[in-house]
Amino acid sequence: MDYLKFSSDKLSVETITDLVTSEKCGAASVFVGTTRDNFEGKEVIKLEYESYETMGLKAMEKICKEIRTKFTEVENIAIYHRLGVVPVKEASIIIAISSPHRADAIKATEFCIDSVKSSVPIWKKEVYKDNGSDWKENKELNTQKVPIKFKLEIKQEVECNPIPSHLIQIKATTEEIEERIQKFMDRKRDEINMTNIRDFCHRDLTSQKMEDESCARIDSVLIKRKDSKGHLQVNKVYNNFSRDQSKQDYLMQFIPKNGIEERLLSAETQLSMTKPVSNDIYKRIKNVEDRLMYLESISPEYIQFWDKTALSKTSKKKRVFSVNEINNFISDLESRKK
Amino acid sequence: MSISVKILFFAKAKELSGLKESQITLPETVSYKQLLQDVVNKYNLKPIEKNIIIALNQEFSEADKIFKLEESDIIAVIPPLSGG
Repeated sequence: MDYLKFSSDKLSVETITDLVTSEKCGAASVFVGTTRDNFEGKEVIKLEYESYETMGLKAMEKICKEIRTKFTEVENIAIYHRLGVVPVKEASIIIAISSPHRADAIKATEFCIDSVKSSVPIWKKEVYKDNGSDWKENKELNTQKVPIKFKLEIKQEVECNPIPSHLIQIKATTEEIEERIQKFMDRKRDEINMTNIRDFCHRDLTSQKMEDESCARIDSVLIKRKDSKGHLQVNKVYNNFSRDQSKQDYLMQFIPKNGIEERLLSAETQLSMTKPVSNDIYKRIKNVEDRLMYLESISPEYIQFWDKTALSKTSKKKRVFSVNEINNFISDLESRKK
Repeated sequence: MSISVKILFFAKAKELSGLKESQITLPETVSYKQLLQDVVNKYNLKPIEKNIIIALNQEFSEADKIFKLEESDIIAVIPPLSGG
C-alpha cells in the first residue's frame, strides 16, 4: 500500500510509521526532513511550502512504482509532505518504508527522498530575519552527470602473426556484392548507350546547314569494322593463358596413367624438369626434392612464403576477452571511481 | 486555430505574475519554445525565463516537444523544485 499525502498539520512520526508497519515486515525505515534555522549565515524566521498538489501526488505515485520495481521486497510506502508555514525544527517531510528484511527498506528510503527532491513539484520559501525572502532550489535537480572517461591501464593489445597482404582475401556481404554487380551493369549499359549515341546520332545539331532535310531521326554511317563482315563491332578475346575451350576434345587429349604417376608428372612439369626421368619411383621423388631445394637456394626472395620468422609481429586491438580479464577491468574501474 | 487553456503559477512565478491561475490563448499546435516565450512575455516572467519548465496536464514536458492543445488542457509554470 502507498500512503501519499500533502497536509498542513504537524506531521507525526509515530502515526506515519504505524501506517506502514505490518505483521509481515521485520523492518521499517523512516526518514524525517526537518527545517533548519539558518542558511548561509542568514537567520531564518519561518519556512513556507507550496505545491502543485495534483501533479505532486502523480509524481509520488510514479516514485512508489519505481521503488517497488527496484526494491522488490518493499511492502508499504508512506510519503507525507507538509504544506504552508512550517516552524523551524519541525518535520517538513516524513518517508516511511517497510519490508520483511531491513536492506530493501533502508535503500528504498534513500532512493525515495532523493527522488522526491528531484521530481516532485514542491517549493520552499525561506523568510529571513532581515526581511529578505528566497525561493530555494534543490541541487539534486542538476543531475545531468557527464560520464567520467577513464583510460584503462590494462593493455588491450595482443600480438598476432603478420599476414602478408597479398594473401588476404576480401570478404564482403551479399548486399555489397549485389550492389557492386548492379553498378557494374549500369556502367556498362551507360557505355554502350554512349557509343550508340555517338555512332547513330552524330547529327550535328548546332550546324546551320539543313540542306538535306530529312525526317530521319538517326543519322548513322556504315563503317565496316575490323574482323567483321558488317557494321557491327566484333570483340574477340584471345586466351593465351589457359586451355583453349573452343576445342571440345580437351578431355581426350591427356589421360594420365595412374594417380601417383600423374602427381609426379605434374610436379615435374611445374618445376620445369624436362629431362627423362628414372624408372625407380623413389629416385624420381628424390629428384623432385633436390630440384625444390635447389630452387629455394637460388631464389631467396621466395623464402617468405614458408619462413615467417623474419617478419615483425604486428599488434592489434584485442576484441575477445576472458572472464578473468573482464573482472580485472571492472575492479580497476571501481577502484578508480573511489 | 487558437485555443484558450488554463495556466497555473507557482512559487516565484506566482510572485512575478501576481496570479495563481489564469487563461491564456495559444495556437492549437505550438512548440515548447514558442509557448514558453508567449507565457514569459505575457506574465512578466523574464527574470526566471531560463529556470522554468512547462508542465502539461501534470506531466513535465521536454524542450523539443510540439504540443497539440485542447480546451481541457492545463499548463503549469514550474520553477526549480525545493521540496523534501
